[in-house]
Amino acid sequence: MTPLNPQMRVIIVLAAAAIACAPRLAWSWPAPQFPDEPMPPPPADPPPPITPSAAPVPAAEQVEPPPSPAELAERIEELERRQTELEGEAARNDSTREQVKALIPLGRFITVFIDVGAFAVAGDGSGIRSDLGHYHFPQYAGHVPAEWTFMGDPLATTINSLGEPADISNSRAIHTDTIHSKGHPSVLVNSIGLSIAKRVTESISISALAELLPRPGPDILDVELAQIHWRPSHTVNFEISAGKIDSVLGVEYRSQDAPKRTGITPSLICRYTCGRPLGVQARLERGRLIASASLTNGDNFDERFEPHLQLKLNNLPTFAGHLQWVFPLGQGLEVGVSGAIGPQDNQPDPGIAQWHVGLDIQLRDLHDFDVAAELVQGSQDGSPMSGITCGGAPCLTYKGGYALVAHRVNSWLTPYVRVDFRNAIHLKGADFVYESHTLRSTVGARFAMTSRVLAKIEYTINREINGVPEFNDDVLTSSLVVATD
Amino acid sequence: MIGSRRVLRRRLWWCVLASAVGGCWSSEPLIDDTFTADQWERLKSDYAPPIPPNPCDVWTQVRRPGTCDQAAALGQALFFEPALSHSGAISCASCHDPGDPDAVPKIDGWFADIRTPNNVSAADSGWTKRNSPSVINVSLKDKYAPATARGVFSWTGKFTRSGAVLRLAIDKALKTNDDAIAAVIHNNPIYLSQYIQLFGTPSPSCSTMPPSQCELIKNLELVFEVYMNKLVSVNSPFDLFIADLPSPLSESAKRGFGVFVGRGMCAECHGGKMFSDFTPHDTGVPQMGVNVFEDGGRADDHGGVAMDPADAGLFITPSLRNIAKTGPYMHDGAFTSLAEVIAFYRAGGVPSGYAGVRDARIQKGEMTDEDARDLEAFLNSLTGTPIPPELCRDVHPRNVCTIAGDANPGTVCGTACVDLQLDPKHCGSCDKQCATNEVCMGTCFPTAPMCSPPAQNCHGFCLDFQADPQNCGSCGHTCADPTPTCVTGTCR
Repeated sequence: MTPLNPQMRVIIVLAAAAIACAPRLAWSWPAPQFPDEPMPPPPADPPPPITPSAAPVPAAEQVEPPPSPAELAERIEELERRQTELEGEAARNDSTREQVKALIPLGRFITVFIDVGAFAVAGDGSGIRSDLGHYHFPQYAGHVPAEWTFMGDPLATTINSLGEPADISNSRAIHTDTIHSKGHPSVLVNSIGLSIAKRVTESISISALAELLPRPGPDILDVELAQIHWRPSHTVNFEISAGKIDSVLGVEYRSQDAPKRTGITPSLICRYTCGRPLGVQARLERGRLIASASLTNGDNFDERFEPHLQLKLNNLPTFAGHLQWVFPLGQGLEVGVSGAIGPQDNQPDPGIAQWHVGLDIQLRDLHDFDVAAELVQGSQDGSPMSGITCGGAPCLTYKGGYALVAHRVNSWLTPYVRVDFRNAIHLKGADFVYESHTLRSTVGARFAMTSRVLAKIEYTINREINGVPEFNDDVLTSSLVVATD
Repeated sequence: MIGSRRVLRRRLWWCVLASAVGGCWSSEPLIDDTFTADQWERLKSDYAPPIPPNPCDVWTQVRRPGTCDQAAALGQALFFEPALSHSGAISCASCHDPGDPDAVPKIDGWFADIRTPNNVSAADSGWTKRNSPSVINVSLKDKYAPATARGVFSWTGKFTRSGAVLRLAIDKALKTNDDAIAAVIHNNPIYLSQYIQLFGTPSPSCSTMPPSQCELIKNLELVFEVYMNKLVSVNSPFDLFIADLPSPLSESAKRGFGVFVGRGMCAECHGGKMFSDFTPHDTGVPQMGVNVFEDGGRADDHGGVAMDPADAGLFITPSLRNIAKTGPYMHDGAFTSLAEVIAFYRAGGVPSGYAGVRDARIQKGEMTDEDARDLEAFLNSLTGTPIPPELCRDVHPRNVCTIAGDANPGTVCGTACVDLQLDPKHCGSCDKQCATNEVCMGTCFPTAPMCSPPAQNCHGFCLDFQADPQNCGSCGHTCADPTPTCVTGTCR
């Protein structure tokens, strides 16, 4: 291993200092005024002092002469004027108070958060390298140019909760280099989020999430969620959702947004389970069994990494389901299986299949420990074109998984460790092939400064395996999330 | 107790964090901003300068009586021999230009066809379909070609040995046949003498056997191969650079190597010491130019195998060594400059105008303008040392024949064997006739001998035109049958 370079030492020292100072900052942080908190009534003005005409003199020494009728009349007039002013001010306060009261419900179903982070990624900032010379994967020589034979995982260097890599280098399956850091450390406004959740009637509610991503290139406005929920019965815990809905695969999708995520970055398999497709979803809870199913336009891949049309190119939907059992351990031990099958996205042939299976487990709060783990496997069959394997639609096979352990040391500190891996081959004719074989270890800490202010820092060690040569793509990243709720 | 455990846990977490951060982070310097250290080491090995084989190995293997140098000399003489062509006008050197080592300044030859404005090479009559590639470094090809691509010569890989390309020359360029080639050897005493020294007495004719079975032709293929094996040009600036030797290679060219292997994707077909995989590809080169014919490539002439439509448009990848000196480029000479070639591939080729199915890897890449300039600089750095002048000269007097009773060799002029040093009708060269008052001594000299009448001056000789049947009535007028006798200046 190469010793730490001076630039990074400075960053780490600063980061350590920030971590060390975090509790103090938390204690000394001024309590912010939020619009949904009841406003204290304005303090009553003290009665106006009555100015004596002369300094008081002990009675024994000096007797004050009684005011003249003219003086009394003048004082009464002054008091009446002051009273009129106070009454006007009180009326204005009442009006303001009513306006604030009217806004309080709005604050209850709108949440705004801002996620700001700083990161540094080793190497050129990307998680891939070209197999120049076809030395490591010679089977692609003569089929895929060496420049486009990618080793490693293009999302291994994600630096925020959105899963954006610091740089995509010359990647071809992922086109949009939203950050394009070229290996330089940087500060980034990861997202400005606006979340809406509102019960419309007794049985119908809506929820939505939109995020604005200020980026070095064009800013991005991303509507992540927009769904309508219907609970047909109060006696049965059953809900149907429609619109741009959450995935039903695994458990990581539930906490993928910055304010909810334990750490900062998604796991290597989140790209397959954290998508938010267009479709319909049903969820049923009966006792210890929770069942979810969805019919969606496309797969549950995160469209940020697998850009695809929201509307389908073929005629069949994707079916996905999740079965989960909850056992009484800690605050609940959930064990689930999930799967999805449908035609491959972004191609017109409904006969070209895509499938996904997964196993998940989640333990909440057992002796201050939280644990989550998933294993997934899946495939896209792809199709040839002009005799070229996978030249029409890309072929993809993948296996992956992660295990996350978090420990609440106290009310504000939660360190965590995650280990994840992904083995995948993604081939599209002569356009590209990704030989992604990555094992990662992530260690980090989450600081809950207040209920609305979160700071996180984590370090990810990326290790290339299974024939991919080791290269430097470790990630140090941080995140400060401030939310209104 | 509980408190101390918590402290312990906390310290443990900090240790994990600190060791992860402090122990693993490292920078990754790239070589020439492109290659990892591992890739660079491997590339240095793959692109290390080739070591030319002994040009005489091919001769030694056949164990003939003559020496390798004698074989190379005959090969070199025949390389320049226009008598091999049907018209007697062109030779191998016409399309594989050896330059002019005796010019001032010297003109280096790269043994490619750099002259044709119409891109393709001129044949004995009309045009060939293709641009003649350089024959320099053909001896390196089989040594450094991938195992699956050895024994593949010419644009389509039709021939298994470099010398065997003589067959292509006989059929397509020289427009002649095996018997005519054999006649050149038989009729030229020097060639015949050299041939006998090397191979023994040749068979009188090849007409009774199939072309590939004619021993004389096969032997000539061998001497051509020995000669061409001597045409080696390495030690280019890039060769020196990659071998860690002092090199004038520019920074631009160094970056260009990165483009060549990376974004340019040139190394997909042009990789390795010879900058070629010697494998057939269809890169979609357009059939352009006034004299360019429709060319099905490998499908048109697949060495004795029935034409396979799947081979349409396939051509063997040429080596890029000396590429800056061997334009125009592509099988049909479609591009006159390296910049044009780079622009062609950078754009992902052209949508139509080529034979067969284009290789799927020919796609618009991510090359920048600077990349293109660097790549061109790199290609310009692949020029090796020039071929030694002695291998670029026409060392043999051609059209030599035997004059009865004359110890000196004669020269073939039309159907006659003449002495160019003495023959006033062919003085110095065929059909160069001296005037009657001139004498031939390699060139025409005026003479005025004092002749006593009736003798008169005839090329310096005093002759009687009234009675001399060789000069009857005038100098040089010969009497022949049926009036062989000269009487009073008239043939009777």
